[in-house]
Amino acid sequence: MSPSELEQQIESFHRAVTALRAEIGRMLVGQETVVEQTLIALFAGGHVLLEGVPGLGKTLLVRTLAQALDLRFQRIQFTPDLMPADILGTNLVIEGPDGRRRFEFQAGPIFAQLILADEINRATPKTQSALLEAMQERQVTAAGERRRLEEPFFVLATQNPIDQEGTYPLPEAQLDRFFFKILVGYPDEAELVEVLDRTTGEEPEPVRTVLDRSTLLAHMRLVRQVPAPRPVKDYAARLVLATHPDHPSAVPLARQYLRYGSSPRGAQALVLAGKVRALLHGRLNASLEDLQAVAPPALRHRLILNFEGQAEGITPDQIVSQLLEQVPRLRPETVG
Amino acid sequence: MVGAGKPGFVNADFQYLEQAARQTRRRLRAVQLWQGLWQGLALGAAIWVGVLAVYKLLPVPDVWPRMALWAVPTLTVTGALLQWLGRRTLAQTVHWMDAQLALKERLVTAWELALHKAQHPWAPLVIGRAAQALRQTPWQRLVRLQLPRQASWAGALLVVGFALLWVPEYRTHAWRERQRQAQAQREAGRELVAFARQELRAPDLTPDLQTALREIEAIGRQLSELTLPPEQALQALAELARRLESQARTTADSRGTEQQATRTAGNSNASADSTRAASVPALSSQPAGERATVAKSQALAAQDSRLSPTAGELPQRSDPARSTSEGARLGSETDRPTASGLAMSGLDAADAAALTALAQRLDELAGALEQAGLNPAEQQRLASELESLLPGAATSRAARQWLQSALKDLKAGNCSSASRALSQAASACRGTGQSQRLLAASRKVAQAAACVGTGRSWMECSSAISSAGGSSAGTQPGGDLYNESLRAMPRPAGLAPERLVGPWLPGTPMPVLRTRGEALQTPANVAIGEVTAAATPANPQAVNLDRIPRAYRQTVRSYFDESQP
Repeated sequence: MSPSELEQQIESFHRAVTALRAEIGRMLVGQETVVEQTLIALFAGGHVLLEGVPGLGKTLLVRTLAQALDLRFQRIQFTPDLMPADILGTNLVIEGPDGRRRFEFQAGPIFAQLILADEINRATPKTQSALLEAMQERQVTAAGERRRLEEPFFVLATQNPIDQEGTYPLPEAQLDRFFFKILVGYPDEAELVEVLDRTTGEEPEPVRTVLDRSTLLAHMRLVRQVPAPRPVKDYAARLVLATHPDHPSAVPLARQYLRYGSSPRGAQALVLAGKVRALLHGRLNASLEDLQAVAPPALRHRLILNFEGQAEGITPDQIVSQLLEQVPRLRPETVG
Repeated sequence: MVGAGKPGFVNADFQYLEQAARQTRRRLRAVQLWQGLWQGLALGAAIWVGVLAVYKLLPVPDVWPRMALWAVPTLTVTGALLQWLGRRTLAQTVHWMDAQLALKERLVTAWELALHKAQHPWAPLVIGRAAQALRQTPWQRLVRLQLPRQASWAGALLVVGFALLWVPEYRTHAWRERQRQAQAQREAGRELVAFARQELRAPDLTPDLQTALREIEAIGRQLSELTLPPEQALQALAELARRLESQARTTADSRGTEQQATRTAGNSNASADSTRAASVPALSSQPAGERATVAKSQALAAQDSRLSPTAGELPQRSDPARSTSEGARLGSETDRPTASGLAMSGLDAADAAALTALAQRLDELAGALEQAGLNPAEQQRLASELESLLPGAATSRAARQWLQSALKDLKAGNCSSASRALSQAASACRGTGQSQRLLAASRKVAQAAACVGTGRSWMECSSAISSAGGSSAGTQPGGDLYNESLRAMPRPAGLAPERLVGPWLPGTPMPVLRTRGEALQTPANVAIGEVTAAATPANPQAVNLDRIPRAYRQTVRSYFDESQP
């Protein structure tokens, strides 16, 4: 690939991102950070867990994204009585024209490219776990048969804060499979006024499709080519190791309030997200600043608090903040 | 060139990147040296000031601040060298430039791609953009030689340190006393070792004397190394001094007895052979030199004793005749030299050496008289030499008498009798010398005990022991020194001792002190138990007062402890 071709691809990527942002922006007011982090996860090929109280636009964001992308979209409303088969599918007895009966696999909503798992923490852990294989290995095993899922495959889950009634916290293994956990906050006054304007006036124009499947896959391959230098990878490793309470380089909050630190998936998410963010910001390499920007959504759901941390009301974001403050950006020999 | 061999499109921009990295690394190294120098100086100054402050407040060894002062230049040089030797790679330099120029890892990414992944499809684009970004930054001004922050700290610390030099050290009185005591003990030990070694070099030492001197050397070494507590040292010194004086007395007594017996026998043979002058020709050539040697040794001995007299010795040295007559007077009762008489005569090791030399010369003359016949002229020359040797034998009354007898025999032409008399004179000289050495050693040991006991310097103790030695009538060497030092101590007027009965030596019973005080004219109407009960709480405080020399505190404490009703 020549430099000019590469520059064209990068330019195409920027155009796609700009168009996606514009379409989402027409439907969703504010929440730039949430949108950027969602797009980062999207181009990195990762799943997203959106957390926030009802009514903040989580479902709207995912639905808008699904409409802007030319992908097969399915929405699964998680409820306590939802069963795994309702997600994965099941074998049904079908009577053929000849009158003979046979089993036929009826695919569940998981067989799509963009899944909205709405209020995922309202289902039982058994049902939540039905997503594990699909999210990590892009395949489903049902009725003893393994079935591949079509690329790309994204799960964008929403959940209410776990202290709400009728919720089941996601198991750690499930959480670790989410690339980002994005917190959706309240809009400020100006944004809220804008929300009122848009939702109480005329019906907005429908969302246009701005990115097809093949282009999205090409962009996903492109962002993986973004070089990340050794110091950036070192920093990612230092950040992740500093979350382990028994590691010598652990920060004090992690040492005191964490039961488990981040898994290696956390470091992978940091670097990959850093690459996407660098490209989003017009740079050709991941930097330490990119890692710092993506560290909260990449690490917060991978830090498991101990009892003391939960009792003290410590949030993972506080620990991530300390990580970013105390873990040295440069190696000592580089500082000199 | 690191990028050599890379594709051309890489090299153009990469060379610029590499050149910038090399220049920056070179400048960084110089700046590191400069900063290391100041860091080392600041650290060394901090250590010095810290140690100096501790030294000003606490009684740490004197060598600490001096050693800490050496830390200043040492750490300055070490800091500069460490920083100079701490090389950073070009990749590290490039990353450092990234951080300093806020280039967000553009340079290090380009560097890695150029070095390790030149075929990466992104390499030309990344390297080109990195070089472009670098050109737009003032990277040449990135590294500047300026005073680091540590420089001001170093300066301030040095100022504080030099100011501290003028601040006097805080030391307690008790600590000063302990130091003085230790210094006195160390000095006394060194003096004893030097004395013993010097004496051990002298010829004709008896085994007893050698043993005693080695014992002195050993105890001196212990004192100088402070391995003996003062109380034990005092006991050991006192015991050694007593033993030495006892040996001196024994030696002198036995020598005097022998000489008396020999003289009685010698007088009966006064008319012995007078045909012994065969060696006179030899003497006639030798005596001039020998006599000169003897005279010189006497002069040297006298000079030596004049060069190092103590204040108390000077009056005695200035009138040797009086000293000699006093010594002779003490020995006249038994017609032999006694230890007390020798002590009174104020002789020392130098006199003993002179006596030994004189004895040697007398032996040679006696041998010459035995072997050769002498003509009148030679007898006359020999007689005049004997007359010249008479003052040298003044320190030994017996030797002088034997010399006078030999002179008389020689003038009478009785060479054989003169030869025997000369041999006896030589023997008397040796005996006196031996006793004198023992006495001198005893005096040195007593002087050392005085130093240890009172914490005074060697010279001060020398003065005291010399001035006290002349009036000592007791049997304890240096005992009067203790008494003198005790008398010299400030006391309430009513408690100044009028009379001291018994020696005041560590390890011995307390002497009886008779003070002026107030006599009780009427019977006491207070029970002794009440008095002691009232006084007992005050005793420890009284005993702990610094006025009581440390060496005596235990003794005094025991005295009070035992004084129960």
